Order: sequence, then structure tokens, then C-alpha cells
Amino acid sequence: MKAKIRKIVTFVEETHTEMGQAVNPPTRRAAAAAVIENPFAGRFVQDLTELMEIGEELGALLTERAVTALGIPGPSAESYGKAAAVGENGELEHAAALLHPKLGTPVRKVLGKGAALIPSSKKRGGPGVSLDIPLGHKDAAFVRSHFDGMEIRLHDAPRANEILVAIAVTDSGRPLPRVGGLTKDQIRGEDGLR
Amino acid sequence: MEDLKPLGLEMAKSLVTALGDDPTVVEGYGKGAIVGQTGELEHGALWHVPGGYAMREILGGAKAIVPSTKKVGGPGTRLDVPITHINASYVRSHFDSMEVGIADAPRADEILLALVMTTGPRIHARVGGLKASEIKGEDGLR
Repeated sequence: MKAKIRKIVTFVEETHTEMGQAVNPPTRRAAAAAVIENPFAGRFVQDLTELMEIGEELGALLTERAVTALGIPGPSAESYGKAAAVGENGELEHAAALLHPKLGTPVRKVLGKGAALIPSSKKRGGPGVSLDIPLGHKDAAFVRSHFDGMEIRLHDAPRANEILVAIAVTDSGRPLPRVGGLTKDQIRGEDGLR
Repeated sequence: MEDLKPLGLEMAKSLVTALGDDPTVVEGYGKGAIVGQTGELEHGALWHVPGGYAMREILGGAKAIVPSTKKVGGPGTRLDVPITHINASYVRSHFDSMEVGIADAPRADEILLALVMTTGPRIHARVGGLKASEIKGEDGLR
């Protein structure tokens, strides 16, 4: 593995009750996060290939961790998202190199499909910074019940020369969705949008 | 959702003003909501239609889906609002986000609504992918 990983943390969130109403079955989402060394911390490097390759490794590793945490086969996942927080000696572009060129293909391999864009966010910050991973349905970006986000935070990461990379996967949308729009049973699944 | 449309339009106009009063310079956008602790996450979902509609209206028919995120939280909660290119979601140089938050909001019975616009790509964008100059502009994706 090219990535120098300091730690991996997995979060699982289940919502059983919302505004006094039972959510049955509970909505569930998991995020797996890796804290890695930033090979380009503190210096400008034009070619970010190394981080792209690390992104490819982490795409598989973190997605597997997330679906394992949910106890579901990959194809049962309904929505997904990705995000990265770069420590203070790195560039925002380092997050882009991890997230965009190569990370998505192994994610989709683990999940069986994934016609939709994987929603993402990125920032620079210090240890304990909050990171919001946006969520969208994996096969149709316009499914309104699955527009969501999951906040994660690690008290000791990212350190100045580190990057926090996270992938979130759900087996459900928001609890008690009721604002209309495209529903998951209407997905055509051709263009990734509807 | 209908009640929020005028607010969305006002906010979108304010953003364009803040960026120099010329909607043609806007290249990226996003939206988000933080619901106070006596509300539901689902109340934040009410922002999808008016927030997206308002920015498309002000920007003259942007084609891409407006990326979004939401959460429940107390005063001072921070929110990373995702950003993508307004006409083609896959433009890689414009994948970005902006952290927002207000020290005293949302109070328990409030909702903090956010819209974000940008005027260009990430600084020193260099990870390849679809370029803004290559947008076909038909499906909102490429």
C-alpha cells in the first residue's frame, strides 16, 4: 500500500426515532475515515500522481470498511459521498487529487453500481476540524429523499502534515422523508441523474 | 417550500452583488442547511427546491444539479457546503466546498439556510478531468 496510514476510524449512525415518530427500520449510515501522511506537505509539487494512486487504494479500503460496518452487501448501499480535510501544510488541491481522479472506480466496484456522481467536499483545517460528507443516491442524483450529509470529526487529525480522507455509505435515505421529488422506486438508472 | 422562494431569490441576488454584481462571473455553486435542535433534518430538505431554483433563476438557467448538505446542530455549528460547476457537474477543477457558520445560530427553533457561489476553479487546480472549456452543456453533467 502506497498510503502511509496513521489510523482508520469507522463511524456508524442509526436513527431510531425522529420528532417522537418511530423510524422503522432505523436509517443507517456509516463513514470510514483514514488519516494519512501527506507526501507533498510543505512544498509545491506539480505532479500529484502519488496522491491519485493513494486515492485509488483508499477508495476500495474505506468503502469496504463502511459496508462491513453496516453489515450489508455492497450492492445494498443506497447513497454515498466522499470528503477530505488537508492539514495546514498541504494544499486544497491535495484533497482534489485524492478524491477525484481515481477514488470513485473502486468505490463503485465494491457497491456493484453507482451511476451517479459521488458528491464531495474538501477543506483545509487542523486537528478536530469538522468535515461534512455530502450524500446523494448512488444511482440517481435527483432522488430527493437521499440528499443528506454526515458530519465526522477526529480530535487529533489532520495534523499539519496529514490528510483526513473519508467515504460515507448508507442503506437508507433521511428519516421520515416527505418533501416530494424523485423517489427511489422511480429510478431509471441510465444517466446517473434520474 | 413556496414561502422560501422569495428568500432564496434575495440571497442569490445578494451573493451576486457580493461577487461584483455580474452574474456571468459565477462559475460554481452549492447550498446547505443547519436545522436547530427542536427541528427535524427533514425541515432542512425544504431548502432543496427554493435554494436551487433561486440560483438558477439569477444565473440565467444554470444546468447542473446544485450540490448540497444538511445537518441538525446548535449555535455555532459549522457546515461544509459542497460546490460544483454551475453547468456541468463533472468539471473537476470546480469540485470544492466552503465552510459556513454563525456564532449564535441556529437557535433551537431556527434554521440556518446557506447558498454559496464561486467565480472560478480551485487555486492551482491540476488533477485533470473534464475542463470548463470542454463543457457541452446539454445534460448538466458534462
